[in-house]
Amino acid sequence: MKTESRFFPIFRVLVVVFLILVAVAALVPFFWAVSSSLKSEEETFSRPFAWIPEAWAWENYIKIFERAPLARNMLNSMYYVCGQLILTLIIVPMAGYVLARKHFPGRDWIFVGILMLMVIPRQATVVHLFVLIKNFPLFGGNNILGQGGRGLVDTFTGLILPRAAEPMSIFIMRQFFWSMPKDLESAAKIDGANEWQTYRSIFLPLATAGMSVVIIFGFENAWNDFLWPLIVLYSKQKFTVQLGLLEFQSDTGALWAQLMAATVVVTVPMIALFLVFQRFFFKGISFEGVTK
Amino acid sequence: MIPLMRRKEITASYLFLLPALVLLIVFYIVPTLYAFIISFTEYSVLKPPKWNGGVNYIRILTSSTFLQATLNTVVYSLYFIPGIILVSFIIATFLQEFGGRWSGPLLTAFYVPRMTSMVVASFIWLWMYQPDSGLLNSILKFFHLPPQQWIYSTTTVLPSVALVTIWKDFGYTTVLLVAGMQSIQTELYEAARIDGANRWQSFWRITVPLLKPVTLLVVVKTFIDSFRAFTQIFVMTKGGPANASSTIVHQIYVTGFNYLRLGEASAMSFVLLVLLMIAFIPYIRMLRAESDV
Repeated sequence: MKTESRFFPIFRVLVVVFLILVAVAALVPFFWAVSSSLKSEEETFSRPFAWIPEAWAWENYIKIFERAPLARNMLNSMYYVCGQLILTLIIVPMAGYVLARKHFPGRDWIFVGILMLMVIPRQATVVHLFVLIKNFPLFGGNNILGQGGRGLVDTFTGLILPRAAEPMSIFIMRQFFWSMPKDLESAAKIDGANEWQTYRSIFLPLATAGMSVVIIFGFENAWNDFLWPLIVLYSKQKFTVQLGLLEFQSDTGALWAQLMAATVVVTVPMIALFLVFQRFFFKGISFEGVTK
Repeated sequence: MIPLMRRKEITASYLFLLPALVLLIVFYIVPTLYAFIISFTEYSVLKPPKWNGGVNYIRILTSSTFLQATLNTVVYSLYFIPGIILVSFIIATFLQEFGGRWSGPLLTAFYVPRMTSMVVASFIWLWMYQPDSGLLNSILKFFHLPPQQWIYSTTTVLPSVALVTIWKDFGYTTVLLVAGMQSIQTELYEAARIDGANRWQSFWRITVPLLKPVTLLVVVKTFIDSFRAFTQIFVMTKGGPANASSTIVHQIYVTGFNYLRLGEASAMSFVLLVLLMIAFIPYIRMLRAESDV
């Protein structure tokens, strides 16, 4: 025991220094991206490379908006994010609430079904989701059998609807309502409130923490989503930011300074969101991971 | 007879659940069933599907490209899963045991890469991996080490892609493990200390065994992640060089949307789902335990 107390402080300092080095290493790609984004295209190829640009090429950040419809892409992404969040916030807490607080036939089967859906990655069924969206009845020139038109392909509805009720979000909301005190319902019964009023005025206001977790993950998922927009959207004026980034790459290579400037512009909102709402990110993760 | 009050409650419950159920059925269950049917047909979006029995399955299971992609996916997961678990387990343990007030800021820094999208992460690393002007070979040169081909050689492409994903996600798995460690009651450590156990002993006798459920969760999650890898490959390598980094999901995308062979792509999806079944059972069991159903 004595040896431990003598060496422990030194060892602790070494470990903390090691961890700081890992953190710096984890952030190096960002420094490199920002540094490259402020160089001229010629300087990005000059060696040995320098962390500080020779001449600060701030114009890269203007050029990227001229060269590609990046502003339009960001607007589209905001549209995608907001549309999805509005639907999610109406639909998902209601489902989580009854799964946690109500007793009705089939409840446990439905819940286990939702757990199973959580495991199937979107990537596995993406082809079929596309076929479904294309043959969606009565939309985009389709008849009632879903033939004849383009359905929801290349529309924001087709982009948003399949993502509005994520099994994971339903699970998180269910866990939040589940963890609330057992006697909340009886208070409402005494007041003579109906089912909707009980939910709306007693439970929903208490679930803001859970809603924040769902909002933040929804934002992150929609903003960073790539495969689904890549498949659903055809017209360039509808592209989201992640698709817009592809414009900066061509078969002959890339203009690295501009590409890095574009990645910085796309990433800064997400990092800002994380730094401000960090608490909710970590809370959401602990909800996934900590078993009772 | 069910009392009127109770009947009203049940009806209301179903109504509350209805919108979510409709969306889940239409956009999750129907496509999966539909996929199963399409996987037995010749189908190319433009023409209506035509039944062809199990030909698609025979075709893909004898196609060297698809088998190569399946092998690539497995090899990729063998780099990714142990890599990310080792890194995040060491970091989480160090943070928990020695981090003190540094833990918070360090955890924040580790988590930042996770906030990049996979497209952004891929572009930044694609630039770092450039053989002539990239950061990594410059660093190697600085230390007088031989330059590497990274994603441009068939032997190093999979570990290089795995490294990008580990960089992006290790903060997330670290937070999961730290949350698991923090949920272990401090009284247990107190009791162990009174019994004369040192830190090393209480780590092996308390932390490691009690962390098993969270570790299992991390294993399952990283397993699923490695089997759905697509964006990093689409952006950085397009499956190359010489198909050395094409994964199952990449093949699904190429077959379905470049070659418009939706029947074969659907059959590939089912092969993927069968492989993922390995992870389903422990995961569902865990989630059920967590939610007391």
